[in-house]
Amino acid sequence: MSDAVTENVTVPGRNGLHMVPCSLIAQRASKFSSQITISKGATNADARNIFELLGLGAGEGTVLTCQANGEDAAAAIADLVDLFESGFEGHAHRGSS
Amino acid sequence: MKLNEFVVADAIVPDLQAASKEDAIRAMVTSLKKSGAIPEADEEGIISAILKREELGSTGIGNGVAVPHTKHPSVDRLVATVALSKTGVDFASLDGEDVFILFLLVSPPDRPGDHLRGLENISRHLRDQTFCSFLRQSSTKKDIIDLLDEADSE
Repeated sequence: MSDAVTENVTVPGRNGLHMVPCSLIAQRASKFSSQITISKGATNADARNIFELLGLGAGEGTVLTCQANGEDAAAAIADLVDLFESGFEGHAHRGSS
Repeated sequence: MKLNEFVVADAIVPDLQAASKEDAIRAMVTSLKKSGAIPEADEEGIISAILKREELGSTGIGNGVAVPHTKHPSVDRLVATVALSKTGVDFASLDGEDVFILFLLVSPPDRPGDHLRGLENISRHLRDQTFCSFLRQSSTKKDIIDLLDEADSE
């Protein structure tokens, strides 16, 4: 049993939340048992679902809300916040997406 | 941004004959070239760029869907094509399954917003199993264009 953990993150990089970051988020989220939702306004995406993440259409500077529910909710959110703050570094190569 | 604003109708491949990822990408880019959406001189460069992007991680994102793409200075707006494979293509997808529906995108390097909106639009429709199922049953360019029109009007 655990309470929900929520944090806001800002989308880094001029390319926004394109396919590479979405794949990374889905991979990270899959390591946790908690249910993780990323929201842009009223639009919610399951953090394990690349289609839903891409469907947010989140450009650079967009503020997103990450919420996790479950036993490892705090660790899951900390990991996702790290990923956003790293700028998805080492993966979003030169103009690729 | 609507699907039919960036999917080039003449470049749609309703019955893709390709056994490999590279064959599929080649056939789709060639179809874009034949439709006049990309310059002939840049065909090979675009194919190479898309294959290079695949090395970063497969764009086969599950549900039998792949969205190979690249940015390339030869286009001044987002252009895309759709291909359907009846037999499936091994795309080294994230879920390990073959792909049957492919959307290939080429976008200008200086318009990241257009690329993102294109991906957003495509993925919003492709997560809908009914849309995917109707798409896979389409056998002509016209069927596919009609289906994209219908999706655009939702």
